Amino acid sequence: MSYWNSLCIEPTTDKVAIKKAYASQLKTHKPDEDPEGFAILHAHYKQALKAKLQPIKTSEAQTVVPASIIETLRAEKLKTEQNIIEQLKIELSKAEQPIVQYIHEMLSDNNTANSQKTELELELETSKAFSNELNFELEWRQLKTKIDQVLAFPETAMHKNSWSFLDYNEALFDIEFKAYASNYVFAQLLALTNIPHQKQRAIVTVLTTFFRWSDRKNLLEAQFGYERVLQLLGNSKLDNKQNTAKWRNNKFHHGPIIFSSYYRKFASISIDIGFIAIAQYCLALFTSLIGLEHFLLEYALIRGVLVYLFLVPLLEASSLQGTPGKYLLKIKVTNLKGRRLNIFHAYWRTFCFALSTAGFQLSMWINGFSKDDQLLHDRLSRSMVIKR
Amino acid sequence: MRIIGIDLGTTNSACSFWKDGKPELIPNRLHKLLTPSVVGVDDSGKILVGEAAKQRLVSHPSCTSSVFKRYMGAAGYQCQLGKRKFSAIELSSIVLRSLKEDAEHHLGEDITQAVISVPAYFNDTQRKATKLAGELAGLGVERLINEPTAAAMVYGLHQIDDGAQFLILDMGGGTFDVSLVEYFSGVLEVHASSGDNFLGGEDFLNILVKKYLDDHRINEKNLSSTERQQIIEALNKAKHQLTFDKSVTIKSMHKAQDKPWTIDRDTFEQLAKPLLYRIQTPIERTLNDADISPSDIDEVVLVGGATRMPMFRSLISKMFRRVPSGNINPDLVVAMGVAIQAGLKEKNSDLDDIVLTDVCPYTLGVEIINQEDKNGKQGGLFMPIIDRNSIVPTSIVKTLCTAADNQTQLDISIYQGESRLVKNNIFLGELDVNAPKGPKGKETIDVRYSYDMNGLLEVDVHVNSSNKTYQKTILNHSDLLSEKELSSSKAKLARLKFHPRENEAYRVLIARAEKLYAGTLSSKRTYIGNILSQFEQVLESQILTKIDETSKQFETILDELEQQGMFT
Repeated sequence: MSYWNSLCIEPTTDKVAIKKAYASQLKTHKPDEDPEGFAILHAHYKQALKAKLQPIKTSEAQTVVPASIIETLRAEKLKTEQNIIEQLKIELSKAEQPIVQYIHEMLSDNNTANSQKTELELELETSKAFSNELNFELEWRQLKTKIDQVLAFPETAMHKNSWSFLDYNEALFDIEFKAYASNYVFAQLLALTNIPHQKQRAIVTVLTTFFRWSDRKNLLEAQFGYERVLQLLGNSKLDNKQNTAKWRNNKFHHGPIIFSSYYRKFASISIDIGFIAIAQYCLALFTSLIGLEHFLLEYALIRGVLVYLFLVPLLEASSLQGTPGKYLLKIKVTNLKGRRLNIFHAYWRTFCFALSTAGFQLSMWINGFSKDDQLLHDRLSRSMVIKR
Repeated sequence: MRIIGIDLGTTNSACSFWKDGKPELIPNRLHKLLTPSVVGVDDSGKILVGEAAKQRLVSHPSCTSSVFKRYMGAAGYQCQLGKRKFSAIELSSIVLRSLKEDAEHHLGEDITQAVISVPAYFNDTQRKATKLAGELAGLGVERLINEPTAAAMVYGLHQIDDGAQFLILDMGGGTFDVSLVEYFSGVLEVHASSGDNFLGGEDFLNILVKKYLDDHRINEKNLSSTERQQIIEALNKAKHQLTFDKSVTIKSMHKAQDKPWTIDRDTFEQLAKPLLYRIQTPIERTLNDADISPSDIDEVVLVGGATRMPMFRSLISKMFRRVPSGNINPDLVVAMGVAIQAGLKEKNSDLDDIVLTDVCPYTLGVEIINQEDKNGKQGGLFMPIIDRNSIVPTSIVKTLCTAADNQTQLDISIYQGESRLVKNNIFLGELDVNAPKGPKGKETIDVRYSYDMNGLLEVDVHVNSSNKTYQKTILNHSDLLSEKELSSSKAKLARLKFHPRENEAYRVLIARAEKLYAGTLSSKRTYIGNILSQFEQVLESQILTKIDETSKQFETILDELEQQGMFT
């Protein structure tokens, strides 16, 4: 099933005929009623239009192995892509010679300023179709003198401010004129050598934003060749290595940061105290069985507090990111960037906690005046308690 | 089933439908075609929409809200109106509801379906928000159509020759869109599209406001909201006037201004240069993407109120070396185009031969790990999946693999934008995927992006070895409403009280009088106060003939008073 079949016409290079055929086929494959059929039809249509670029050799060349629809589509896509690449190669090899010449002309033009008329000047002279009062010939001469002045010395060329004349230049509003100027500057930059790489990068960035070279990359590549564009603009395309998906790292917090409320934190601490109490009770039960009764119950409170202060930071720095009480109530402790605390930070936080609760329950008082429900020790230790 | 078309704009909205082979606009309760996108609450807690609310912007700034379209889909935007808070979605739905009522009145039938226009460059979240607003207003949204595409339909069907390529430049109150369109044998094909979501008439107005405040050394923070609105309104009028006159003089309207203030067109243009530069960006991008030179374009068409500005027109003629055309009212052309789309959706027989194809104006992709990034400064890389300007509907699969041995969790972060680094792109949502343990690079997942005709994105992830499929219609978790919030929002809107339709005209008169009252001083003020209370008394008497008579008199008085208005 070739794309000519799908369009129901004989192979042709007549764009209008292709468009007509596409239009008539489209009536039965409307995009909102038959999306798959439409996608295939549109792909075929694009290929048919592109086929105009090359002479049609044989009709076999277009026929592709009949397979399930999607596979044909993929295969043909690949094929056209290859075609385009070949096409480009041919064009490039053709184009290379004139470009070099062109640059030479441009460069020689530098020295004998205004003696020769540039292509654009000639072009504009011949095309008087535009009754616009803008005088491009004059504008271009002025602009070119300025560009050449800046490019004459590496120091000025590489200085950001020396290019500021480009901003709000009336003539550069004109899209075609701007494209022309852009190519001129690009060619000149390519011709410039012996400039520190780092500095070149900086100025290329400035000019790229002005002339939007990243958008025009395809066009530049068609004119100057892939290698040379790469050399100046650097590679921003992704290489065809395996693309590795981002994966969740539990050290980071994902999603919106919602501070935990004061009551939830209070409840979580109560649960923790409950756990410690149960543990103490079990310990007491166990030790009483082996006859160490007197040793245990007397200092239960102090022991509980010490265990709490020692254990909490360990838990907070672990992947649990909080005490069991916090875990059950779906809150966790992070630093201000939403990352998991490291062990020292966690101990520092607990120290702050001890400090703030020891003095008159200061932490609880401060809470009355804060909007985000963060307690004093959180503020001191630059950490926060948020929803998981 | 009747489907209406709605152009939900930043400053004005309009409503239309397909009738007897052509688009027809529906007048609102005040017999006007444009309804200002302004919502307000009056002293009795009832909701005001459109002209009446717009008039109250000056007198009651704290109870009135405008330009909320700019905040569509913005996280956590809440607007305080009187005692209640509204999100941009809710405010839009109030406007939509008012338009729907007008349409029902005009057509004499219940309306439940609509086609709504959105700026082409609206992202997924903003589109979703617009759709939600429609649903909250009781309208099933049959299609979201891009504004420049809608305009292109009008031009394509009525104005342009067969086989022509034309460039639509649509600059409204808050957004700027560019679309390159070709029309041949009944097919309207959008080749490329681009835009700027925060560039419109409002930005030009802000420049004037800033200039005014700077000239009089007024600190914006010290302005009361009424004064602020007064200044904004006067300058908005001045901005419109600058389209016709070389310079405009404004009478004193603030205590810091002791003599009339004059602004001329050249100064305005000088100040607006940064904005003009921003206008060029999407235009050049569209032309580059379509690989077309300005001379290949048959016509440049201007759409949207802000394109009336002389500086915009001169910029465009400089860029294209020709005079742009725009012979259909730029404020209404989008609404007419939406009606054509509504007619298409109704499957009208006279539109049988018309097919519309559109493109996705931005690149959609996924975050991948940046191996080069050692110090964490760059962040993740952006891998495009759907390239910008691919034809819609489209569905594309790309394969990703695990980055570490025995990695079990993959985080699919969905982004939109053109930058190589995700941090410069717009985050749309994320998806957690579990994969079986295995050596790194061995486990693969297929990520499929499907972009539909409405511009809404759906993401499917298929884990190849476990054969599990995850799916997500992008819903920005924090930005949009959850089911629960949606129903509470519905309940909240149902509780709102509106003024009866018939009284709307009187509301506008009262609002106008109140605005004049707020804007004048001394004896005039007392006079306005007097006639206003007289009018209110007549209204309360409920004698229809008398109300009618008085309202006419009242209107002429107000007209006269406004005539003596701002400009000298």
